[in-house]
Amino acid sequence: MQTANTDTAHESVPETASYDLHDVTRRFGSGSSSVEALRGVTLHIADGEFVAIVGPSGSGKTTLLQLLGAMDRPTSGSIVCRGRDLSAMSDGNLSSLRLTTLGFVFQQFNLVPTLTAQGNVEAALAPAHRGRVRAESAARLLAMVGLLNRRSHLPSQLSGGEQQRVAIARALANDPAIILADEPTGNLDSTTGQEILDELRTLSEQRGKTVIVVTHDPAIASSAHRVIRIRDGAVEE
Amino acid sequence: MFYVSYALSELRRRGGRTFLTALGLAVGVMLVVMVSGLSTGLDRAQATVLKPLTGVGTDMTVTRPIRLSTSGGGVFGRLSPQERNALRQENGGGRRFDFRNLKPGKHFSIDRFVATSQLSFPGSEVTAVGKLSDVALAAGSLTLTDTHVSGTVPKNLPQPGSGGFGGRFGRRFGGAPPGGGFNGPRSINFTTRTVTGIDIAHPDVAPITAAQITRGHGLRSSDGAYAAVLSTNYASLNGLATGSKITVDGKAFHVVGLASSPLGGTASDIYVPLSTLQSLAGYRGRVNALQVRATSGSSVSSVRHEITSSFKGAQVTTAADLAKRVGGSLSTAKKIANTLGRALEIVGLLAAVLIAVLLTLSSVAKRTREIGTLRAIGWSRALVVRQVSLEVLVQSVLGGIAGALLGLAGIAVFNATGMRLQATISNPSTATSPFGFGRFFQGPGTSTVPTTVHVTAPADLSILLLAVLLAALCGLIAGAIGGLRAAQLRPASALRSVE
Ligand SMILES: Nc1ncnc2c1ncn2[C@@H]1O[C@H](COP(=O)(O)OP(=O)(O)OP(=O)(O)O)[C@@H](O)[C@H]1O
Ligand SMILES: [Mg+2]
Repeated sequence: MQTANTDTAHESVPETASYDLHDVTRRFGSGSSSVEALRGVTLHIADGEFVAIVGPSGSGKTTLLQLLGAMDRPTSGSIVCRGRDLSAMSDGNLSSLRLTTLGFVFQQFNLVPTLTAQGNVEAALAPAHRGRVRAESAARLLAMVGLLNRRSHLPSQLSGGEQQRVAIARALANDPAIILADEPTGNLDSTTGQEILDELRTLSEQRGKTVIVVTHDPAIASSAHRVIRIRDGAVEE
Repeated sequence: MFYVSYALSELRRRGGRTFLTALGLAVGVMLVVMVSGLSTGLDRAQATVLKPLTGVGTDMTVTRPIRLSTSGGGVFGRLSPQERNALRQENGGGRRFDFRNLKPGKHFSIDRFVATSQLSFPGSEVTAVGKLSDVALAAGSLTLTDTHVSGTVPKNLPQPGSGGFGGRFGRRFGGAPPGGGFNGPRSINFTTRTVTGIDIAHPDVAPITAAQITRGHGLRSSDGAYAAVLSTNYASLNGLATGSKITVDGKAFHVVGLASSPLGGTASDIYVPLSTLQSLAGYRGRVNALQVRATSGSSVSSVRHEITSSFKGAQVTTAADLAKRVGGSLSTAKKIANTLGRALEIVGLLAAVLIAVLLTLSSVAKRTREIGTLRAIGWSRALVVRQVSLEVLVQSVLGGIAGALLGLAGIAVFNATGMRLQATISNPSTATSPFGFGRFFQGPGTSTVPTTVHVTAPADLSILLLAVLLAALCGLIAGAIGGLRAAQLRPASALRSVE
């Protein structure tokens, strides 16, 4: 188990740490009905790591991933992502952090149903890129996941594995340093799941991205550099 | 472009919802277009009715109506003895048609002038009013009803002399229409017509202005004393045109022009120079209406006050007063358009906005995961608000265009029906003349004959533009509400919500 650095320590080496979590708790609700989904999580994740987060259902994996993804704020404790303290950032700054630094892959793919494969990738490019550049980038990303010939298909016209590859292309749209995935193979058969896993591993090994995957899949867990086990909201690495 | 095509694809997917939102706005906008078109049409119709009354450049008309008030000593209570006398004289106190010298079989032609509901006043009042501050111009006019009787005295009258015929005639005169009481209707020709004397020196404030002249020209001093302008109605009824001669009180007048028959009120059949009428009718130096132009529109009320306080028994009628007195189906329609129509507009628009808001909110609720995902991949709150607003805006503008077209179609249908409404200008002193003539004579300005106006609702591009803008505004309201609701959705709902 890694010990948390002090704030001054990681400021001196900001680019080497994707995450530094110190005593993070997340409580849902209040009073007698409150649930403490995370209790005192302290964690360091270096740049370029391929991390699997595992644990029984309800142990707090998704809650942790949301905090890492700047989609949620901890009840207490601090989260520093690449040198920036998330708890001190405005909603707008968190949005742009999600846009530029983080990429998400969801269990249910979460493609916009009315947009084509191309459109879905462009949705992630649109806030920062315009016109021709955007369309060309989207095409290049789709080509990278092998789906250029499916660019004008709607999600409903794609298989689960294809949808997840579109989602990976979308996650990579702004060339983020960190990819976060919540059970990316949970809705896929084992062969397709393996393909997605290979994609993620390539991102980590060949492109130096930090990949953090929440999973029940032992195949993913075994191919990860590091496995973080969570039980009852606490890390037991 | 991405955002627009995203919005369009979203609207296409939720076609039913889009249609309902657009339909709601279309109905609201259609109501606005139709009601405002109709109400503009009614305003224009009213202006058409009022224009000849108000005249060009005349701000107010001063008359001295007969008031049957019990206070102040009756009709002439506040007047000087000389004035009372003059009025009694001119209103036929002792005058009669003088038939005494007529022999059976002899042809006769007699004119008799009376002013009934308006009392006359000396021309000096015109000068006095003209000297008031804020009065730019003042000119007097005299409008009289000319009863013209001509024909041949019946041969078998029992007693042609000693006033017997005159007395009997006089009685019939105020009652039933003439003709039936005489032996052979062919023998007596009985007409009444209104004659107005105009101050030629002040054509700008005359009861008939250059704008009303349709043929020939208005009265000029160069035409001499015996020139006349006829109303087109009167001219066509009597087969007269410019160049014709018309006989008034035995004098031949040369017709120099025709004037479009003024709608609604102070329509006269014949216009002649004021001094000519005054001497023919025995109204020397007297007028019974005074047209006044104020130095500016803002001084109208102060001029009115000055006149009423200095001129006994005067009634000042301004253009605004006339507008208030327009009655008949036109004013009823205007009232309906202004109350029910406005209410309909507001209710329609509010309902449209409400429908749009509710549908947008429910669509946002159904898109929790989609919107959460957009937030998760980096869309800011502002961007989400903008996107939702854009979607609603597109629907609204489509609805607005549809509504405007429907409204224009409605207006076209309305105009095609050729709706005609009637307007009457009621005179506040509609009292029966105290001189026994009853309703037979109507004084100037007492038009009880309704004027028919064709109401056409205008349909122009500006209404279309306004309608679309209005719909867009409604859309922006609904879009902002829906968008703000969407922006409240946490990005975490991308991971949590089940679809
Ligand atoms: N928004 C919320 N409100 C209340 N409780 C919540 C909320 N989100 C999560 N929880 C609770 O927090 C705990 C952890 O939930 P979380 O979704 O992180 O578990 P998980 O490890 O992802 O489980 P699974 O493997 O089934 O996805 C659970 O007990 C859950 O009920
Ligand atoms: Mg989970």
